Amino acid sequence: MISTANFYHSLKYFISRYHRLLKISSLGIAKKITLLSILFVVVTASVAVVIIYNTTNTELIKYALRNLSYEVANKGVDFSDKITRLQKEVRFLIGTAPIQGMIQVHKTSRKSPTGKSADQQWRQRLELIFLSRLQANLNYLQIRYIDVLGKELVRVERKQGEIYVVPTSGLQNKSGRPYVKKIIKLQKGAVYLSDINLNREHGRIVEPHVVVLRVATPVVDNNDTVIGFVIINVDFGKELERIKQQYAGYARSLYIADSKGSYLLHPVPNKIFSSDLGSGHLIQKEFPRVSALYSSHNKELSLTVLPQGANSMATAFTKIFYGPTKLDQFIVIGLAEPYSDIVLAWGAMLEKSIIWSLILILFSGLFAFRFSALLVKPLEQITRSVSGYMHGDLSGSLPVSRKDEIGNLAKAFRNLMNRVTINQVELSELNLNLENLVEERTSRLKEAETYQRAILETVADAIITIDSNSFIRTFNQAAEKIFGYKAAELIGQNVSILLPKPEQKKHEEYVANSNLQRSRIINETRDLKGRHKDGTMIPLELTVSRMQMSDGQYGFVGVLRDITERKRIEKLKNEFVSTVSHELRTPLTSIHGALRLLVSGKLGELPEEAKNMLEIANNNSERLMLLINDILDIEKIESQQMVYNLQEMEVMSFLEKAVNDNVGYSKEHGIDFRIVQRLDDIRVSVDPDRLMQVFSNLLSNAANYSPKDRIVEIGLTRHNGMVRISVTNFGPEIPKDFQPKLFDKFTQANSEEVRRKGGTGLGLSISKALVEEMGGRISFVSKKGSGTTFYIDLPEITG
Amino acid sequence: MEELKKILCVEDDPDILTVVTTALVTSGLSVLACNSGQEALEKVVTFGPDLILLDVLMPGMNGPATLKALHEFPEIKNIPVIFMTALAQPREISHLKKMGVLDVIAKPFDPMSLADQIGAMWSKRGGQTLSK
Repeated sequence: MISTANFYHSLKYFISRYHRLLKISSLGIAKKITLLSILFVVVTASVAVVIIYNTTNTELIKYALRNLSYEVANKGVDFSDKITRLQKEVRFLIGTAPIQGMIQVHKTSRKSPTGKSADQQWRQRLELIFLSRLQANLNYLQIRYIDVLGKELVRVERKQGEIYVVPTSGLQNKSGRPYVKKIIKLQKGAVYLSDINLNREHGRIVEPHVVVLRVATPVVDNNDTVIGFVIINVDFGKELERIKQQYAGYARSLYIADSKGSYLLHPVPNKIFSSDLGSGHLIQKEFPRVSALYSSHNKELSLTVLPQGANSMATAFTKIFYGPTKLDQFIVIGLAEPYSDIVLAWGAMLEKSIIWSLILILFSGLFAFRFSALLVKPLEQITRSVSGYMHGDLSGSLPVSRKDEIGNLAKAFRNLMNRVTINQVELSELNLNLENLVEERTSRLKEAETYQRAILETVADAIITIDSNSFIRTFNQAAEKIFGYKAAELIGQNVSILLPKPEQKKHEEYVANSNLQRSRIINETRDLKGRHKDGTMIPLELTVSRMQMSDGQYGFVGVLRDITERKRIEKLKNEFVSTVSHELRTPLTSIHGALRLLVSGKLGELPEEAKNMLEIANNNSERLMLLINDILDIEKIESQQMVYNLQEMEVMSFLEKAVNDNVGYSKEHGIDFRIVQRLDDIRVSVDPDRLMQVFSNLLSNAANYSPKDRIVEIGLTRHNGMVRISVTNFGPEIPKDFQPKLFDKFTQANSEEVRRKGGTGLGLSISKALVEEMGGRISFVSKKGSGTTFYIDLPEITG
Repeated sequence: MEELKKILCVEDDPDILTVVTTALVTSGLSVLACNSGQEALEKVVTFGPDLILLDVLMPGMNGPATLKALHEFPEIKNIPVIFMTALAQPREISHLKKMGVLDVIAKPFDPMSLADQIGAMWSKRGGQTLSK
């Protein structure tokens, strides 16, 4: 049998062996297509053949076995019919009038000897009936009526084709025979069936062999007592011969065996009737599987045996009982067909189809080769033309006249080639222009770059660019001068090398933040300390801007200015201001003191004119004192020397005290400070002295600008989560153009005002600085008609 | 409580000294003006003041030095001292207060209220001087 696995292995072997010879990739399309087509057809056909062969074979065998089983079953039915007919026959015979008459005679004969003639009469009628049955059935050998003692009463038999009625003198006594003993024990209506044996005369097998089946049934009187029986001997050999004749000339072999396994029919004649002839041939021996049918505890009635190789047979067996009540009497019919016979016809067909397939493969290969050449030739032509064109050879022709896809392809190529030719011309023109343009742009770019480099290198400020990971990208000459490093030493280094420890941390935070959102430091200027190569600290002013780098990342440009000199000058200035202010204070103390004493009148009354003059001098000395104090404050704030003594404080009582303390202003200006909004138990953390300074300043301003006889309103509220102190005067609006400069140093709306209202022009500037240093905010709103309100917002202490 | 009558005033600037003296005398106090710490040391025992007003910034012997020297006299040790200074910043004031003075008066001062100011300081001196 061919298996798919075997085929697969041989294919694999073939491919591995001849792989190098095939070199499929180097073949042309035509050969490839041909080869692939043939390969495809061969593989398909082979697989189909294998599948069909295997499937059909199995189906054929199955079919053959079914066929055999069917025939065997038919034979069985035949046999059963025969047995049934014989049983009917023998039952019919005992029901005939002569038998019934003889029963009556038998009864009376015991009482009256005169009944003999009547018995004789019945016997003759019975002989006639038996004779007619033998004439009607050619395979009946004899029919007898035997009494309960084994004596034959009527016997009609066939010998050499003639039928004889045996005279009384020829009748035998069969009392010793086993079948007689068996039959006279039977119940009324039961039928005896003998095994099918070779006939014996006087205990010896008759030659030539006669195969006999005996069928008998008892004759009973009215009391159901057996008084005899009718027995028919049937020549079963004729029946077997008839069956055998049906298979003459066929390769099929028929086997029939009796209930012991002894053959009744066998293709080899000397194997039959082994039990009679002692040859020992048994069906169980020849077909071991059949012993299943002989096993008493096996209920199977038929079986089939698959062929086990090319020379074996497919066989079917069936077990036929003599009758529904005779389970120990049966025959087994077997039918065998050689495997070769089953597949013979199919094998021839297979060969034919393989040959046809090979022819078809050959044709399809040729066709594929021709067809692919048809496809490939023009393709080769196109390829030659196009590659020739690419190398400058314009003579190649294209199959543009074709009407099919290849024609279209050729046209497309022709158009493409035309287009390319045109484009080449255009391109060379463009190239020329482009070259000029590039040259021009490059020189401009160079100029710009030189210009920028010159700026970068001559500028006094250090310019450092870093990438988003803080690695230095550029480092100009000024930077080299400030930090003491050469650019080459630093490019690629982390910028933190230029920063002292605390600044490094700050820088990292800035960089981290600036990547997420717009950082506060971007584009703002701040002071910081840098670290020189020799480790000294350099005060620097830094401006950072963010820029997009060429790689899409963000980088930073830092412009750094060395402010050592500026710091030194600032310090000098501060010291100078401080010293001057102090030096001014001393003489002022005596001037002011002296004037105050004089003006107070305690040292004696003065003439009116002198008193006026002294008052002017006193007022101005007071202003001068305030101015000096303010300048000292500003100087302290700016040099960050102001000390804040922060403490928790209740606001409402503070305001009340402040209003009380500043009552002098209100009296002086003829106005009234009034607390109009209150909040109790509000606490803030401030320096009370400094807050008082701020608040007094606001009160004094309000008093200055409030119209006479009006109230200056003071309030305590909450605003945006902060504590809000407000001071409102209902004076004129602060001029719009002046409002933005209100908190600047030395500002007052106009100089005339200064003279009229007094004040130094530093008050609000100081106030703003103080409030902000204590964590608060100061602001104002000024509108025509609704006056001016100043707000101090301070963070509230809760809980 | 003892009444404040006699004040010893030490100030290198004669003008200021005059103003202070005038202001205090006008208020009915008895004042001995000294131009230097040295002079004060010479006169203090004889004068026997109830309170000493002491300028901080003086050439030669300055305020703190004079204070130290004064404290050398056992009979003077308990006389309260008030500093007068133009360096009237909170830090400076607290620094000066730590030297064991009654209080600090910032310059420029108001001569009209100077006597009241000193009086107020005098009246709270008890705890301060006793603890020293």
